Formats: sequence, structure tokens, C-alpha cells
Amino acid sequence: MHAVKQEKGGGGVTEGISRWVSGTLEVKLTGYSAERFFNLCNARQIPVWNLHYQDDGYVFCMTRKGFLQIRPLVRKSQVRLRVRKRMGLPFFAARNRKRIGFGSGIGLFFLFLYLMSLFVWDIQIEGNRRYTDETVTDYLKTREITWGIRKSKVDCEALEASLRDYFPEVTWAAARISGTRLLISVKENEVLSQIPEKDEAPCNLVAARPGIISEIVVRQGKGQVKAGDQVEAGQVLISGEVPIYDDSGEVKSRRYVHADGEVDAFTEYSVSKSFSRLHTVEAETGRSRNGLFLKAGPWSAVLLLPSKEEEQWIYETEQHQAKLFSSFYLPVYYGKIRGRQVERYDAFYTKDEITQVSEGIYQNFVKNLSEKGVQIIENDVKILEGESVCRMAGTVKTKEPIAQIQRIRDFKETESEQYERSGEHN
Amino acid sequence: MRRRDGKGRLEREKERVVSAMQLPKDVFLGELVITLIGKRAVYVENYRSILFYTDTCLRIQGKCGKLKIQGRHLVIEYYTGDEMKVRGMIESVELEACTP
Repeated sequence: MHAVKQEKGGGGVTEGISRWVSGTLEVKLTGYSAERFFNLCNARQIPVWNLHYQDDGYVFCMTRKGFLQIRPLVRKSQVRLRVRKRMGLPFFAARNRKRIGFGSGIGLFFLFLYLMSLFVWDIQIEGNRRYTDETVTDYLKTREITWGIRKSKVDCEALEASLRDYFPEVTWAAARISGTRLLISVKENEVLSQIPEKDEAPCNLVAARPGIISEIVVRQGKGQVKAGDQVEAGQVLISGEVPIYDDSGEVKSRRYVHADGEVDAFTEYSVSKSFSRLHTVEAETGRSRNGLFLKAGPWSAVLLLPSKEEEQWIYETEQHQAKLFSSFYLPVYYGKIRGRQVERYDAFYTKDEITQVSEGIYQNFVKNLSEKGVQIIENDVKILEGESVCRMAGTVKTKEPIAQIQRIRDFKETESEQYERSGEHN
Repeated sequence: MRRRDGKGRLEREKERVVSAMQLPKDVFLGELVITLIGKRAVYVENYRSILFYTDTCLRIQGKCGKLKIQGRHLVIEYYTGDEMKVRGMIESVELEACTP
């Protein structure tokens, strides 16, 4: 049951790196008893790998340290060794020991990488829906957590707690540093954080717009209109003043309640919008040009051939942040600039275009009404084309809830109530 | 001769005990474990030493017997104290049992 074998001596990335750092040799062996030599190496735990037979000899790899230990084994097994290739850092350094600039360049490169790895160069926020990225980053700025901060200065636990405190809708927050990135994950409350208090203050429901009542449902209060009535804006639809009659049919007292109900009415909206027939057209000439840009901190450079002043170009830029590995972001941005040449000129809308523009304006108007819960029943909006201006005019018949709350400020008293109150004072 | 007989008996006893205790035989008896990966590689565990090696033939000494691997372009990718990986075009793997 050894279906899957894990290679032990063959390598692996870590093993390969450590061998490269300590240096390896490719050696050719010839002589009397090669097998004995290999067994002796094994017995002394001197690693040998990639052993193969070649031209009446054996070629294999071994570490630099191992090579220094094999002299007695060579003598014992009566073989001859010849180094064919030297690989790894010690030999590379020895070959390039006189190239000070090259060596110091490599050193500086690693020093630069190390220094860069001490800072945060990218802040990623995820899970936020109610709060925008800008809102969160603005808050982070107030806590002095910005792009370029030292990683050691970021206290992730404190940041998590402060995010939860500052944003009431954030129920869970996690902050962690991965490479040179600060990753913030938040979870927002999906239900209402507090139940709205029911308004019980006495009020009337009045008409917000003039119209003809189509439907009225009274839940609390006294209905003042019925279906088919014409109402004006401000007219009381459901009164919060409920009279209480005595046996003789006279108003004994009044009870003030929070009027509640639904009142739908047929209403009308007049539409009057105009737009110029003349508009600017941007026609692409088909010419394009590409460029590059590089931004490192406050410095930026653009590689793009200059264009003539009279030429008009539209540019699109694609920005990427440089990274070495998946989480090692650098404070360097690069990207492509794509330019399309356009010619701008004024033109009149054609018949079809006028219809399209008008339709767009009308749909926008309908969308705004729909958001308020207004249903369109009928419309007779017409497009009137003038010399230079097009005008949309007409009326839209709609059906919508028109009730709006109006607080009751002056509470009336009946004569008997006034009498009772004066009696109490006396 | 007597010594060899004694050694054989000891081995048999050892095998009996290992079987009775349901212990892995390859570990406790040091038997060769050979794993073939198609025709292109073979892993050998619990070997003792390399007896003979060319690019077409490799003979290995196990604790109890010899192993002969024949093929073309045989390369010993690595070998450690008790494990070895050979790759190449494996044509045959032959086991020579030890004589008691």
C-alpha cells in the first residue's frame, strides 16, 4: 500500500534553495569501484543525487560540504573524481567577488525589498455595503492608518474594536496584515439595529396633492372623504379627532387619535421639459496611440508621444499596482494609456435621435415617480419640435397614495368639558 | 552450517512473532519494499547497498535477497540510508531470494 511516495532526498523547493545557498557540485567519477564509493557516501550520510552513468563513468551531484569530506572515501574505493560544474551561491560569489557594484546592487535590492516590506502599501476593505470604501478609509485616516504606514504601528485588534465602535452597523470586523497589505473585512448588520418607535401623537391625514380619491381604508380616526371625491392639497382625508356623542346626540367630548389608513387617488402630473436640438458629436477618426505611465510615490512619469494642439484625444488609463508576490505590494503603480482621436462638431438631432432622447427623459421621469410609489395610468406627452429646441409637454395621469401626516396642534373642548375644567379649578 | 540453521530458525521465529502481533513486516523484518510508478520510476525501500550500476542495469542488495532492475537510461535520482528512487525506462524488476 505504497501508492503515493513522498520524495525524501530528491529535493523540494526548500531543499533546493538550501543546496543552492550552500553550493553544489557536479562531479564525474571514474575508476575501479564506483559502487563501493556510493555505498561509503551513503554510510557517511553524504548526500548524492542525480546519479547517472555516462561515458564509462558516473556523473552525480553533491554538496560542497560533502565534497570536502570524501577524500578518504576516494582513496579507499580507488576512484578518480573530476569536478564538472560548480553551482550555488558560494561559487557565484567567488566568481563575482571583484564586481563590487554588481554585488552591492544585489545587496541594495534585497535591502530595498526588506525596507519596503516594513510598510503597508495597499488597504483592501471587503464586506462593506452601507459604508463606502472612501468612508472607511477616511475613518482610517483619522486614526493615522494610511497608505505607507509602518506595519508595526498598526494594532489590528484595536482597529477592529474601533471600527465596530465608530460604525454602528458594523457587527463584526477583522483586520490583518498580509505581506504589505492591510486586509479589513467587515460584516454589516442585515436587520434594523433598532425598532422604530411607533408614533402615537394625535394627527390627521391630509392630501399631499390634489386628485380624485380612488380608494380609502381607515384604520384609525374618522374618514372625511369617500371614493370619487375631488380633494385639494391639504384637505383632511382621515381626521384624528373622533367625537363622542351622548344619548341626546350631542358631542360630549372629543378623543384625539393618531389617524391611520391608506388613501389612494388619481392625480395628474404635467410634464414640460425642453432640450436643444443642437448637440456636440464626438466622432472617432480611427487613429489611436498607446503610452505607458509609471508612478512611484509622489513621482510619476508618462511615456507618450506629444500630440498636435488642434488634435483632440480621449485617453483611458489602466492602473495596476506592482507586486512581487500575491501579498507583497509595492508603492509603485504602472499602467497603459490608450488614446483615441476624436473630432468634435455640433450637429442637429435626427428624428430618431429626438425620439430616443425624449424617451430617455420620459423614462427618467417615470423612474423617479415609480420610486415614490406612483403608478402611471395614462400619458399624453407629446414632442414638439422647434427650430432649435425640442419640447416635451403633456400630462401624465397617475394613481398614488396621497395621505400625509399633519399634527393636531389645537385641541378643541366641548362646552361640558370647559365647564368641568372650570369646576375643578374652583 | 549449524550457525546458518540457527539464524534461519531465528528469522522464522521472528516472522512468526511479527505475524502473530500483526506488525508491519517490512518495518520489523526489514524486507525490501518495491514501488513501481508505471515504467518510468521505481522506489526501493529497506535496501542495504548498491552492488552494480550502469545505465541499463542496477543490482541492489537487500537484507534478504538481491534486486535487479533492468532498463534503459537508468538514473538514481536520489538515495538515502534506506530509500532510493530510480527513474528511466524500466523493463524488468527481478528479485533474487536469499538462500537459507
